Amino acid sequence: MIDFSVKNLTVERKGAALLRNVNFTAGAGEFIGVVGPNGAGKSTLLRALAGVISSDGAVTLGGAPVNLMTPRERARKIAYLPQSREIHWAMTAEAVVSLGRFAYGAPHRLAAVDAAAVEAALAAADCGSFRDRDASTLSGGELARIHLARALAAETPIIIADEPTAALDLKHAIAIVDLLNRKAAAGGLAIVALHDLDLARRFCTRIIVLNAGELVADAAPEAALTDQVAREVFEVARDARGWRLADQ
Amino acid sequence: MSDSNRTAAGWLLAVVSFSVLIAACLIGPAGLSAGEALSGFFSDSASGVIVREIRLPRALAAWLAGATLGASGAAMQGLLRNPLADPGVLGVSAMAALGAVAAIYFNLSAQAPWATPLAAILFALAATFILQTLGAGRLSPARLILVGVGLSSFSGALIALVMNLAPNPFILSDLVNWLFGAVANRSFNDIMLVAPFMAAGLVAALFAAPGLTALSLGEEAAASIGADIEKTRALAIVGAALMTGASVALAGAIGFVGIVAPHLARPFVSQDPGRAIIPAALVGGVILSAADLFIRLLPFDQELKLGVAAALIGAPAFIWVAARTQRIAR
Repeated sequence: MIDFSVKNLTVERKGAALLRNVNFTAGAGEFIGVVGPNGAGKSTLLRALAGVISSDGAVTLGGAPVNLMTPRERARKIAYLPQSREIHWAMTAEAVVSLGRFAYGAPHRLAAVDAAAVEAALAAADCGSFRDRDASTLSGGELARIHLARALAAETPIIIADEPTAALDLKHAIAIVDLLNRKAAAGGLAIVALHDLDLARRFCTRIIVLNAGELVADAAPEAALTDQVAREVFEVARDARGWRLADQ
Repeated sequence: MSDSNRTAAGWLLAVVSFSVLIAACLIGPAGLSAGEALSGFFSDSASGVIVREIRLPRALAAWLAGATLGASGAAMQGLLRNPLADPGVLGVSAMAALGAVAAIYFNLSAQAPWATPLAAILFALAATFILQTLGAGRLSPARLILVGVGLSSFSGALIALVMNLAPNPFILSDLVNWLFGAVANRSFNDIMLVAPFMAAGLVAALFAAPGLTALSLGEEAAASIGADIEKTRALAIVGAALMTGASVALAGAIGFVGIVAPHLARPFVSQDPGRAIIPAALVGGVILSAADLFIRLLPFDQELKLGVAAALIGAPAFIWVAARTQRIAR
């Protein structure tokens, strides 16, 4: 059972509201795609949901405010994949994924259950072939999968990911979205920022559309991603050959 | 390296570190044979005085100064995720030296022996506080290093000013020691004065270690996997400041050990910044005690200052590390 609730969530920085009065609730089995044009507040929303930035309003899990949990407590419930895929030292891919178990004990000597979680995550994100490589030598796609595996290794009920498919080829993008979809179907909750509206429409169970820091639509994919939303929010339209700029 | 190889390498590092310390006690210009020097550890003869009262405290002071600089460099690099961060580059050493110099100039040191270490440590803490506030809340590494460079120059200018105003040559020569770094004529009293601060700093840095490991992923990801970023930052900064201040109080401002020691130590711990602290301390101890042994054996009338020797080796090493540094942040 997951009872995730967001009430009047507002994030202000230097007097400007990056996010205004966002409200929604979410539960087990949902794969929520967060879409919107650049600067709409997608990353800010996900950061606030993950509790890594301060915000006004209330984000609660099972009634408990996320920002009052200790970092470890929160990390056992919510995994978060930021947009920046930083790895600052020449660590091996496997060492990075092992950090996903940080909240469960010492990062160096993994207990059997932690090692098993790391193995499962490496396999799920298809990282087995380069697990022993220095992360600084990995391609963009491999890095993305390593970071996803790191988030999966935490085995949290909730996973929040900020554009996990950015810079990936279509096959790996679909593989990652499909994986998150299956994780949600197995009783989890995934909240994922996506730029590719087609991927979002196909794999998400629900879409939240943000524009200029406000929630403008929250519904099933077909109901949320209407032609009108495409035109008014994204300023694009679709014809027989694909997306084009909307007529002004 | 496999895990067992790494463990073996870690022990080797500890043994080498200890051996250099012992060698520094056995070798010297007094013309004692190794056997005489060794027996001097346990006897009250003249050789005992030389080994226990002159060579051992000096060697230990060099070792401790190097070890604490190495550990504090490792902590700062982990915190800032930058292999070029170190107490020297960030101006913490220079500020600590300014503290020591001020304590000497205003005659506080003559009144209370602990005034020098206390001033050095307080100024080191002040430096880290300034870095923390001016270097922006999010501690952007590039900005922080620039602030550090400014801080370093400013402290250098103030030290030069104090030297300009020095009332007599004795104070001036004392000040030069703090500027260039030296461990000649250190006694156990000097060491006991700073040892508690060194130990406290090391403990603080070690408590920050798991957080430093997590910070390899950047601040947001580190927070999301369960690291307490604020606590990690406070512990690492206070730990580095205590160790740097104590090191400067004991041996003066010695540069580059804080960069070179962690750099050499990281391969032993799979680059993990959290686990690099102790190995960096061992390497730093080896570097400075070996450097001090080396300058004691040089056939010059005027002894080379330890900090000068360290910079002669360390500065090229710094340039080498800087040229090779690449970061991956995609």
